[in-house]
Amino acid sequence: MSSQVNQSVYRELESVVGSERITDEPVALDAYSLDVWCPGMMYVDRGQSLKHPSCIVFPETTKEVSEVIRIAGNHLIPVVPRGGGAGDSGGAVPLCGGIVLDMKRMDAVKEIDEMSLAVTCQTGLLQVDLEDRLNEQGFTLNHLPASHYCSTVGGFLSTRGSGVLSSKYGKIENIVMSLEIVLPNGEVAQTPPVPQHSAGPDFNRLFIGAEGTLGVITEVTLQMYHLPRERRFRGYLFKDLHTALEAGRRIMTKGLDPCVIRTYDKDDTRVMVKNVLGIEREDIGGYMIMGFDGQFEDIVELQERQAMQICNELGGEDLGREPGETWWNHRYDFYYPPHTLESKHYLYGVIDTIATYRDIERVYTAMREVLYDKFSSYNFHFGGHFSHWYEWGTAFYPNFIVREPPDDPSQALQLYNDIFETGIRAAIANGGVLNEHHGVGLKLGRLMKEQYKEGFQIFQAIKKALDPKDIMNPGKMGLDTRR
Amino acid sequence: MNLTEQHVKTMDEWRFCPMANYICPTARETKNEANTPRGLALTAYLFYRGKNDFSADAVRTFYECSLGGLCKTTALDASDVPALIRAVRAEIVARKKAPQEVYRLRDRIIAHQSLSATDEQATYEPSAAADDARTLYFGTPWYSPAHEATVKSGADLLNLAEVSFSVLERRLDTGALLYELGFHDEVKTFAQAILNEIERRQVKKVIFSSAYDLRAFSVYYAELGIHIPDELKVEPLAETLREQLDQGHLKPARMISKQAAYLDPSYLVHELQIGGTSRQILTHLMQDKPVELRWQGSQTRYCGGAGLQFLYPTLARRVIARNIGELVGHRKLGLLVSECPFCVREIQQINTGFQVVDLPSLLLSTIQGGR
Repeated sequence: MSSQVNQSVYRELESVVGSERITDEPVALDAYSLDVWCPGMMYVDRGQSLKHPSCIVFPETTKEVSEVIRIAGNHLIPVVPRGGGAGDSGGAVPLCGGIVLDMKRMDAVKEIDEMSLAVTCQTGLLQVDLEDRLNEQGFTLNHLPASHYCSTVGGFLSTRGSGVLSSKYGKIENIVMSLEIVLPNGEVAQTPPVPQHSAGPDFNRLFIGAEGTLGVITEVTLQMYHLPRERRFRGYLFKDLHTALEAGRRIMTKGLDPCVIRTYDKDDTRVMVKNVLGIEREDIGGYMIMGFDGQFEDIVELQERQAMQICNELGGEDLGREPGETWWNHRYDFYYPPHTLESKHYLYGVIDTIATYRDIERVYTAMREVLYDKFSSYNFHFGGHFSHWYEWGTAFYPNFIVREPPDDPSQALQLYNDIFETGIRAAIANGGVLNEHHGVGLKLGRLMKEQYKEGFQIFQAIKKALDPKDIMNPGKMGLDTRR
Repeated sequence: MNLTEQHVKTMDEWRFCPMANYICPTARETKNEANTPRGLALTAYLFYRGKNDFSADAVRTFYECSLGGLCKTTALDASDVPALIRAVRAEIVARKKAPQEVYRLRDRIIAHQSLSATDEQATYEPSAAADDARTLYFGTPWYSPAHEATVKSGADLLNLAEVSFSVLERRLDTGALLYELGFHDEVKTFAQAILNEIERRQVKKVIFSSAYDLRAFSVYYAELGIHIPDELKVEPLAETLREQLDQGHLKPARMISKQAAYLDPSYLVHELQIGGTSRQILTHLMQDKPVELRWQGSQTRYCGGAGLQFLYPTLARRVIARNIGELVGHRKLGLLVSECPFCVREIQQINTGFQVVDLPSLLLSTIQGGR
């Protein structure tokens, strides 16, 4: 199976998009060999490089995507769809070379249906541009992930992204109404215009989170909301994480509908309150930011008051509005220079996990213990927060930092993989589920079988049926494909 | 490679960071990630590590950058991608690897002290020039008819306000663009000629018709280690005009009734941290409030892309057309005002449906006794 685009194939592709919208210049191949997958960056840092694509194609229409995929299929050439290139799971890394399909020229807003609160757009549109456009007309997606400024709508769809307001407004899949998909054979499929139907299975969910392995999502209709007239935040301190988690659970299960709950574990609590609030205390083990929003101030007021009562009953210490507002106003700062991790050549990652309320604390404890046991000798840090809350459970968003990783990139990669495997296996064994907002990609693919067990054959069978030539983003999500 | 510690730090901070990709005017148009701040920092890093021998395609991406500077403002530290790009360009020039377009532009600037030597030449000199004045009105060399209107209107306004000023017999180029292209030695020669003239005339204050040249005095000469006398005051023309308006020396006789907006030139905001003055003048001249474009002030992302306009005019025009379309959006606009000669020049050449004018010309048109 070839991964090369020879001159003849290049000309074929060029005839579809024109010479201005295809390139095989080495400077572009370098840029497109990476996303934000940490080991990839470590390879480059250490003077090595990842597999390069043969070319990058910039389609503008669904028809062009379809024709490019047909050509790729005819020549058995891999196709890697790419949005903003901001994922840290390696989902956009062209592992087998081939064609990178840069979707960012597919950036049109097709329709804003103010009556149904729905917006239809091409999926290469940067989310920040979509949100800006909606805001100008008084609407919002209420889907605001950390990579809001650098990811495309298609990127979020392909990885099942979550925004900071997901506790109220859901993840990306919760606001998808319908999709247009170019299948691996080049055919264009359209799902029904509304998601809550009974016309058989929900095919939206088949392609959302498939990371381009089953086709390319080219267009989407998303539910939107009126911009809230009221949004407010509040901070609380708790004596320990258990109490803080219980407060979050009660708020959610009583239907108080917060847009934000972020609960930090003991280590991160102490760092956060010291850095943000200037508080240094030994008697605190949990820090929570909660937020409420909506169209009606009195409803928001009531929800917040009821939530405060829950926190107060559990011995929480009310810190007022400032902590939450500070977080909200600076929530993206961490991702801009000065970078505290990359520039210091640390090895780092997020082992995002989700579980029911019954299991989540056990998942947290198990991960923490096993990781510290095994990796302390590497100047290892592990801590995090619980965000994305639901009526039945919450997500734990822990990060690890290795301050003294091996110099050799292969050894660094081995260590990186070992940390993920150790942490995720501890999570799965205790009821946790893989929940990486950046997708499964390269980073977690090998753990998919462990997560799904026998169920993984469903995904493999679907892949084989839809993409028998295995051209779509090969090597990702644990699917047994060429390397 | 001759990079400072700060340049290396910038490279480290940005070579994997996609957070400023969406604000880069060139990358917004090309969509090619090699054009983004991340892509450029990564390529710079590959140059630095000897993994790329300044290949022609890689070098070209550095000259496709418009040096707009929002990526610099976006960072929460002192990392400075535009400064890194200028440093890499200097290295490219030192290695004689720049694209032919760059050398042709350099030759034209050096031969003619002008960016548009083949265009109509400037003939204007202010009527009230006073050779013994201690204020020098620095009329930037000929860029285009649009820019020449700025220079002339500025001089007329200074005369109307009875500001005593001198002009140079021959327009001298500060070398701002040459510096941005990477020709540092040549800029030193240019700078010395101007500074000699300033010393000879015992100039205490320089008013720049174009803030683009003010940038040379305020930023670029310092980067080259060229000493500007501490007591020399430099300011953009807009600053002088506001002062004259405030003091009643310039009196607008009519108000502007068109729906007008002010366009913040990006380098003024991001390099010089100024830009509010011109907006204040426009507000002062208008019957109603100015129309607010998207992404202005600290978020301004457009740059006329001085080098880009002359090196790759087709790309530059695509960039500006996209940018203006995004800035204006659904707003109804009759007039767009800028104090950047490159913005005015370039926007006038695309079909926008509204009038584009430089601030001095607009102000002059409203003043009793003006044209």
